[in-house]
Parts: sequence; structure tokens; C-alpha cells
Amino acid sequence: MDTNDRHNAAHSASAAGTGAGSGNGSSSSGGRQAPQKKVEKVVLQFLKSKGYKDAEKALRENARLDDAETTLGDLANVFPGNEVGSDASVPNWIMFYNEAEQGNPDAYSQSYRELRRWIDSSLDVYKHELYAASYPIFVHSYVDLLMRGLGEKAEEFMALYSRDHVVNHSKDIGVLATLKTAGHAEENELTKLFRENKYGVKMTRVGFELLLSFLQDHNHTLLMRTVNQHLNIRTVDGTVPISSEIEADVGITGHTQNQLDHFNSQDVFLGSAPMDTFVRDEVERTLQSEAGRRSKDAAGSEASALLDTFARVKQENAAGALPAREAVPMPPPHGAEIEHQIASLKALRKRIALGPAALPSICMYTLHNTNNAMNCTAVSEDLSLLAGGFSESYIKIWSLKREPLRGFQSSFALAAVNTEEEIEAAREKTTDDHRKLVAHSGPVFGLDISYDSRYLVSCSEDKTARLWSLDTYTNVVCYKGHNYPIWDVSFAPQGFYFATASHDRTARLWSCDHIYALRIFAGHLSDVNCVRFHPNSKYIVTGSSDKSVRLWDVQRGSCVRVFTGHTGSVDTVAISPDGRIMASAGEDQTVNVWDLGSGRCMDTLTGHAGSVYSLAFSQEGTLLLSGSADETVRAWDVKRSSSASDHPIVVQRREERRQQEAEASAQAQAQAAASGAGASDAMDVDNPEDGASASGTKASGSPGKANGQTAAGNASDSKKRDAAGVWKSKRVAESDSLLKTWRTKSTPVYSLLMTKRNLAVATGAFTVE
Amino acid sequence: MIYSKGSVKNIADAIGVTKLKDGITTAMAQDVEYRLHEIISEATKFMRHSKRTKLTVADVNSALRVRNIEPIYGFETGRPVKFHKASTALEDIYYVEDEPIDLDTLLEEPLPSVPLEVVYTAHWLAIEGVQPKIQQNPAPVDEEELVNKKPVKSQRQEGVETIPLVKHVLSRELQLYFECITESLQSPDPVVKSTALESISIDAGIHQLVTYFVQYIAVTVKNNLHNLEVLKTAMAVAQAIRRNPNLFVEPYMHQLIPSLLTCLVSKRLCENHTDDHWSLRDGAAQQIAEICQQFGQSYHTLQARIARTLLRAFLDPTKPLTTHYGAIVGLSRLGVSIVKVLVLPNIKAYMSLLDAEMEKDSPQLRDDAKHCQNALLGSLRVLADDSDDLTPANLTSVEKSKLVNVVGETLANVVFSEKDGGRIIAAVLAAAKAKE
Repeated sequence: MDTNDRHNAAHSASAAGTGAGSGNGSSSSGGRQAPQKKVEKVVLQFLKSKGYKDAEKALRENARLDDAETTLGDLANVFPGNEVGSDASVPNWIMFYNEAEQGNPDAYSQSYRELRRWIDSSLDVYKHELYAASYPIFVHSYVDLLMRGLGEKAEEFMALYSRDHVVNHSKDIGVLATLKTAGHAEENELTKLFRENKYGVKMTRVGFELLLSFLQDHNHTLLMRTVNQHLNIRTVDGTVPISSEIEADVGITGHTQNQLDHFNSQDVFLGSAPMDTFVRDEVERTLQSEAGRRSKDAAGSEASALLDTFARVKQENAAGALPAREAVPMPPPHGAEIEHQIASLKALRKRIALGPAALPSICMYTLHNTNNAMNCTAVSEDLSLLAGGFSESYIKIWSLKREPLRGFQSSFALAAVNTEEEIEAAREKTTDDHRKLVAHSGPVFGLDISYDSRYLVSCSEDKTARLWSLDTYTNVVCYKGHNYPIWDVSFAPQGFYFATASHDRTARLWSCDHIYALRIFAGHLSDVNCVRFHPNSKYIVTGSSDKSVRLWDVQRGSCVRVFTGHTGSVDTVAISPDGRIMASAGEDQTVNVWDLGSGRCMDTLTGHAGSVYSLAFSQEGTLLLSGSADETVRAWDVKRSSSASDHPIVVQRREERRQQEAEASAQAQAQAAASGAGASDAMDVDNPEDGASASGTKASGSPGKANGQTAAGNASDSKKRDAAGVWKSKRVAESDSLLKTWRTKSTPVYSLLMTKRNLAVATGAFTVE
Repeated sequence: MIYSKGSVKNIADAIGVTKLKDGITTAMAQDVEYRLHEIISEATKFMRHSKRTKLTVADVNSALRVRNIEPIYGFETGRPVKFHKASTALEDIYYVEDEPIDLDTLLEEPLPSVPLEVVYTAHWLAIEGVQPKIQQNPAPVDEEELVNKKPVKSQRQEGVETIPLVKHVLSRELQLYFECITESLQSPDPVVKSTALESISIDAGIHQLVTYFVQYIAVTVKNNLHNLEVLKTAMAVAQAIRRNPNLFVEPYMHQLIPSLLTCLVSKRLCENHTDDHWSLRDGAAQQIAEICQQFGQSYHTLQARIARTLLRAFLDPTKPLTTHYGAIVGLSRLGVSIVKVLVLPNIKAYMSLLDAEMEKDSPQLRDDAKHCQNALLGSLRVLADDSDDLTPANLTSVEKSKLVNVVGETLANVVFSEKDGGRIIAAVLAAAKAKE
């Protein structure tokens, strides 16, 4: 090439003129000449695209480049990767290549194939995080192909590579596969979600660097761009505590990763709600007067026992209670609340301790002749009422005590009532033990009965929630606000407030006395399917079709925790009575157990073969029951998983236990030593009576010894277990937490309730095929 | 592609649009298919929230309504739609049967019956974690299958051997205790044995072992059918766990009763025919009667089922006499009414069979028959013991012929030779009379 030298000279001039390519200007060796010409072409292309016409003209004249030569196809071969040295900054480099690769319709498929091959051959330690990161890359490649009108290529791409992700993302893949044209890709909800939000992935620093250097070294600029634009990679220091692809896959949460970290590190107050002073005093007074009045008989002693329990409960409450300013305001208490408190104290005394070795009794209420028209059920806490919501827009209530449900007559005049008999007389004369509540104009999807069984709240496809009085069996209030069907409704533990979850992607907080919503919790990216209150009423937990679960602060109306990890929509959530643990489950047939404080997943429970409809914790929070479409109720050991994690309470308890054991063994040893000494003392005295007493001490000493041994044995056992625990947690199957499965007869389990006395109540509709 | 270009063309033809360009049909087909998917995924949400697993027309209409599209009326049914398959040359086509209805006949037809009201029933799905074997719960057979299936599945999933759950639950002390007890039960020393039995019948903390004991009894009975001593021990264990006031044995009764029945009506329960297996049968009968009395309230069908089983054994002439003996003893222990209804009417026929056996030239058969006869006499005595205000009948020939009519010649003779024959005759005749 005889023009090389001239080009070289021209190049340095042009470089001065445009300020680009200055790095190459000084070199004039023959080996670099050919690439330099190419550099000029690239620069030209850049100027052209940016519209710097003068500079472009100058360059063209100086470099005497033939315009026809500069085609995109050419550019694809311009740089072999190694020529862009490490000094070239990544964004520039991407810019050059975008154009090149975009011209090639097979570029996505090729690069993705290579990425796959590379991940397959990478180290096992990083495989899962790389797989998790490959999913959004896959989606974006597919959508990009569609957007560029390459429908057939996209279809091919989907057919080739969807298998990789179908296990964890079958639903999304199903939706994506239905897209046919650029128009569909533009308006589809899911693709919008992917385009508008960043997809979160957790990676180790090493894993992230591996991925980056792979993409760089092999010039996969298209993929690199996807990573830059649509991925939100949070690097985790050290080794990743995660073991499965699902956990690395944070998914789309609507927040950037940093925000998410910020979210999940916000302070939450998970203690119990402070007891109203009036209620506290009143309960104490009632119990005291009862104990005083009948101090002789059994009832009196029960009352004083209740007093003790109450004192204990009070103490526990005070220890972990919310600061008063954090608590949610409540209306002034009334008499029923005191009765309720006393009843729950009684229940507490009669509670059966449950655990892995002591499984609960389950009472099953089966509904017949529903013809697939029943959508939901609810059982009141005192087990007096059962309610069902039907597709035919009505709610049906049954008395579980088979007593007639007698509401007040409409002519009921409060002023005329003086005695109890008159109240009875004002009731209806019906003898039916069931009633229908009619007012909704669409299928009823959710029901909840207040803690005192006096109100029922329902929600429906007709976009309204309705409050029903269970004294009159009439609709009292109709709450309008949602714009789409409402999926779920839930009363606060102390009544008065309730929350709804809707198809319109919001959850709302209502109080019974306002017809408008007090708070709107917006943030979920798809339908909110379920809502439950935290036991202290300060938070609500929502589960959504966007596969995430969120914890919201009721007062501030803001999201304070996001839990990701489900692979299907979340249909049910439950919170343990101590307010520390939350469980969620749904379409993906797994139950996830979360630590609310740290926002971490404690355990993933697998075993169900159908969507999980409902969850319930035992009162101690040791046991989790789940009811499912697969016609089973299952019991899971919650603490097994938490003992592996460093849940603060568990750690504390473990410490305490260890201390106790150490103390016990020390004591026993001391005792054994003492008794041994006593025995030898007695032996010295040659007296038959003393001998007898010595044998007595011996006898009493030997159990002490035995105790000491067993206690020591326990301590060493627990150590072993701890050691084994670590070892176990590495290779243990998730379903190990499954304690027991009870099957029903063709009855999907719609709802589960755990009473204060730890009796489980399950309901379901018998389905005939 | 589910929705083809051809379909679009066909539909266009049907509504009178004939000139449709190829590009348009392709675009239409693609778009229609996408919209269908969209509606279906929306409808699935409604299906899930209705806690169903089958999509219905109502779900699709709800989805349309949510999208602000007019629903398609006239297709909603309460039941899931049934599709029929029609095979054509190219592909299979599925369609919904839509029969033409003649309005006149429809109007003349009587109104369909009112649909049944939604009702609820209650039952125990689990009692302290154990699923009672009652009608409302699924059959245990399937459950075992499921249990068998499950570990295989999880093994494949995790490559980890699953250890049966129950081993974790049973504490070491309980395991030791169980071993110790079962060893003591096999000991030849009667003192050791009775101590072990006493321990079972008193100890409070052994509830977790109940299932093991029940299993122990079942296995022992099964494996030692001819070992009288061992069988007697097993029955004693059964007695002991039932006696223990701290144990809740109700959920295990269904496992216990078969063992007891085996000891009652089995063909042979000892090595030597001369051994006293009769007392074992008597004991088992006594236990079954007690169980029926104890749990008859909660399981109404229990006594009826046992009585039916025993009656079948009693009336089957091909069964050996030992079985008959067990059946008779078992039935008579179940109470007066059972004797009146089930035993008394069959005595005469049975006695003729017994007479035939007595004739036979075998001392063993004769001995067995003698025992059966005594058992029958015992069942008659149950009748007599039931009523106090009986005036003993005179032992006259008139009475005797009456009695012969009811119980047959041989037994009547035996009754006459008894001390309290008069009372028995009176009771039997009264019962027979009441029956008529």
C-alpha cells in the first residue's frame, strides 16, 4: 500500500482536528498502519452518527477515505478484540461494536450460545449466580430481536434456549413465547417490566468480574449492553451464602439494588403492641375481684392463676413492646376487649405446647355441594362461625355450634330495651343455623372475621369491600376506592383497621369508620394477591404476582422490606405470633420462611404438589402448617431452619440453654461429689443406723450422679448437633423440615387457622370430579 | 402456532370478506393468538383466586370485563366445559357439544330439582398429629403408597438419603425402655414378665411407644401363631396398654383389633392339641368385648363390624371347630342382644352340625365339639344372667320339647343336666318367644 504513509500523516492531522484517536497518532510503525485506517473509518462513522458534519468533512478530505468502503459489515471485522487494549474505556468500546453486531441478525443467538457454553464450563461455585444472570440477558436478547422485527429469529432463539430457564421461570417463558411482533413486545406487561426496570442479581465479586471479562474478551458487546442497561448486579463480599440459582435471582423489584439494600436495612419494630393501660388495669381488677370473691373454690384459684399468667404476659409484653409513639393509634377500648383479653389468658393456660415431636390436632370443616363456586372461607377465632364467599356474589355464614343465628329485627328500638329478655325478644325468630349475606355484585374473593366475631369484612370482584355486622347480619358499610377486583382482605389483630389487596397492584389500609382508604401501598409490579397484618398492627405484609413479598409500614405508608425468591406468584402469607418470622407460599408450590428483621430467607420448604392456599403458625411459632390444592395439610418444622441461621433470638436461646446445661452439669457434679463424700463419711462410722442412712444418701446420690452424666451427655450431644448442624445445612434436603402430611378426601384446603389453644382448624370444599 | 392463517381466512369468508391479502391474515393470526394468550393469562388469575384448577367460561368473562371488553354471554355454565375430540385428516379438533334444544319440550319438562344446599361437616383430620382411620379421611392404603413414593422422589431431587422421621422423634431413653420391655416379655421368669407388663400398664411417659407396642403385638401374633405362651404374652401386653390410664390408644384400635381377632378365631393356636388354647380365646374375646364397650360410643359401626365378622366365622361349616368356639365366645361376650339376635336363632342348625362332628371317631374332634357345646351353653347362660326376675321353669317334658325346638336335642339334654337349667330354659324360651 503506497498510501499508507500519507494516511499516517493525514491521520495525525485529523486526530489533532477532532481530538479523537490521539493515542494512535504517535505510532507510525508499518504493522499498525492497516488498523489505523480502520480507526479512521470508525471515527468517521462516529462523527457521522453524531452529526459533526464539518469535522467529518475535514477528516474525509484529509484521510481521503472512500465513502463506499465504510459499511457496517466491514466494521464488524474492524477490530480483533485484543487490539482494543485495556486502556480503551468500556463504554466507547461498546459504542463501536453495537453498530457492528446490530447489523448481524444472528449476533444475539451466537453470543448467547457462547455465554451458555462458557457458564456450563465455569466453576461450580459461580455457576448458579451466572445462570441467574443469564436469565435477564436471555429475556432482553429475545425482546430485542422482536423489537427489531426479527420475529422468526426470536422464535428460533426462544425454541433453542428457553429450556435453560423453564425450571425457574416457566410462567414468564410461557408469556414471552406468545409474543409475535414488535407491537406485542412493546405493549406486553412483562416486557414492559423488563424494559423499564433493572433486573436484580446477587453475585460475588469474583463471579461478576469473571462475567465482565468474559463478555469483554469475546466482544459480546450486545450482551454487555444488556448487562449495563438492564441488570442490576449487587456484589456480595466473600463467598456467597447462597446455594441455589433462585436465591441469586433477585428479579425485578422496582428498586435498584442499592435501594433494596437500603430498604431491607431500615429499622423495623417487631415487638408486640403496647397494651392499653385502661384494658390492662381493668383486666387486672376483674381477675382480682374474681379471685377475692371466690377465693375458696376452684374458680377462685383459677382466677388467681390467671392473674399470675397475666403478670407474666405483661412482663413479656413490656420487654419487647413497641415504643408508644411507634404504635398505631387505636380507638378507645370497650368492655368486649377486656373479656377477650381474659378469654385469651384462659386459652393461654390451656395451650398445648406444639413442636416437632408434638403435632397438633386438626379439625377439618368440609363444605359440600359447592359446585366449585366457593372462593374463600374464614373461621372466627372463637370457632363459633364459619363463613364462605361464593362466585354467585353472596356470603354464607354457618354457626359452628349449630345454634340459630338470630339477628336483630329491623324494628329494633334501642331506647325501648331495658332488660336482657327484651334484647332477646328483639331478635329474629329464625331457627336456621346458617345465613346468607347478599350485597356484592361479583364473586367474593376474600373474607375475614374480626377478633371479637362481631364484624365480617368481605371483598369482591365488584371493586368494593363491605363491612357486615354479625349482630344484625346486614351490610353496614361499603368501601369503594379500588379500581379493579379486590383479591384479599384482612382485619387487624385488634380489629378496627383492615387492609385490602387488589388487582390494581396496590394494597390499601382502611379503618372501619372511614369510607375512603387511609393509606395506599403502591409499589408491587403486579397484582397484590394477599395481605396480612403483623401482630402489632404496625406493619402489613403483602404477597404479589410479581413474585415478591413486601412489608409495609402502616403509619408511613412506605415499603420497609422486599423479599424475593419465589418463582411464582405469592398467594398466601402468614406471620408468626411473636412477629419475627414470616412465611409465604403460592403458585410455585414452595413455602419460604423469612426472618422479618434481617429480610433473609431462612428456609425453603418443598413438598407440596399443588399451589399452596393457606399458611398458619402455631402460637409458639415452632410449627408451620400449610394447606394446598393438592388436598393435603402439611406440618413443617420452622425452628430447624432457624437454628442453622443466626437468628438473634435463637442464638440467645441456644446460649441460654447451653449455660443452663453447663450449670446443671456443674451442680450435679458437685452434688455427686458431696454425696460421695457423705457416703464415705458414713462408712467410717460403724453403726448400723448410720449405715442405713448412708445407704440412703448413696441412693439419693446415685440419681444425682446419673443426672450429672446425662446433663453432661446432653451438653456434648448439643455440641455434636451444632457441629452436625453446620455439616447438615450444607447437604441437607429442604424437605427435611417436613414433619407430617395429612391427606384429605378430595378436599383442597382453603384456609387454616390456629387457635390460641393451638388447635388447628382447616376448611375446604369437597370437590367431585 | 395455534391460530393459523387458514382460520383467519375461514372466518373472514364466513362474514363475507373474501379478498384478504396474505400479509394481513398473517398479522391477524399472530395478533389474535397473542390476544388470546393475554386473556387466558388474565383469566387464570381469576381461576386461582377462586381456588380452582380448571379454567371456566366465567373466568374468561371476568378477564374480559377487567380489560373493559364486553363479555361473551350465553356460554357460562356452572361446571367445567367438556371438550370432545374429532379427528380429521390433518389434525385433531376439539369442540364443545352444543345440542339444539327444542323450546316446546323444554317448557313442558318438569322443573329441574333445586340444587342441594351448601352444608358443612366436621371431622378430625388429625388427633395429636395422628390421622384417625375414619370414613372422612382417605384410605390408609393410598397413604402408604404415597409414603413409599415420596422418599424415592426426594432422593432423586437431593441425592440424599432420607431417614424415617420417627427415629428422630423417639428419644434414646424410650428406645432403651422399649428394648428392655420386649426382652423382659420373652423372659421365662414369670416375675420379670409380670413386672414388665405392670410397667406398661402404669407408666405415664411412654405414650410415644404405643404405636411400637401395637406393632409388637401384631408382629408377635403373626409370627408365633402356634406358640401359645408367646401369644398369651402378646394378649397381656394388649391388655396392659389398654389398662394404662395415661395412654391414648383410640387411634391404634384398628391395628390392635385384628391381632385380637386372630387370637380369638384362629384355626390353631398351639403345638399340642391338648394345650389349653381355650383360655387364650376366652381372654381375647373378653378384650374385644371391652373395646366395643369403650369405643362403641365414638365408632358406632365398630361392634356391628366385629359381630358380623364373628357371625360369618360361626355360620361357616367349613371352618374348624376351634374357630367356631372363638366366634361363639366372642359373640356371647358382646352382650345379651347380640346373643338373642345372632346366636340363638342359629343354635339349632349349628347343633346338628356339632352332633355330626361328635359322632366322628376322633377324640380330638369330640373334645373340640364339647368345648363348642359348652360355649353355646355359656351364651345361653348369658341370657339367663341378664334378667333377674326369672322364675325357673320346671324341668318337664313339655318344656323340654319346647327347648328342643329352639336349641336342638343335644344341647337341650345338656341344659337339663345343668344346676341352673331351669333359669336357662326360662330365659331361652322367653327370648325365643319375644323373637316370634
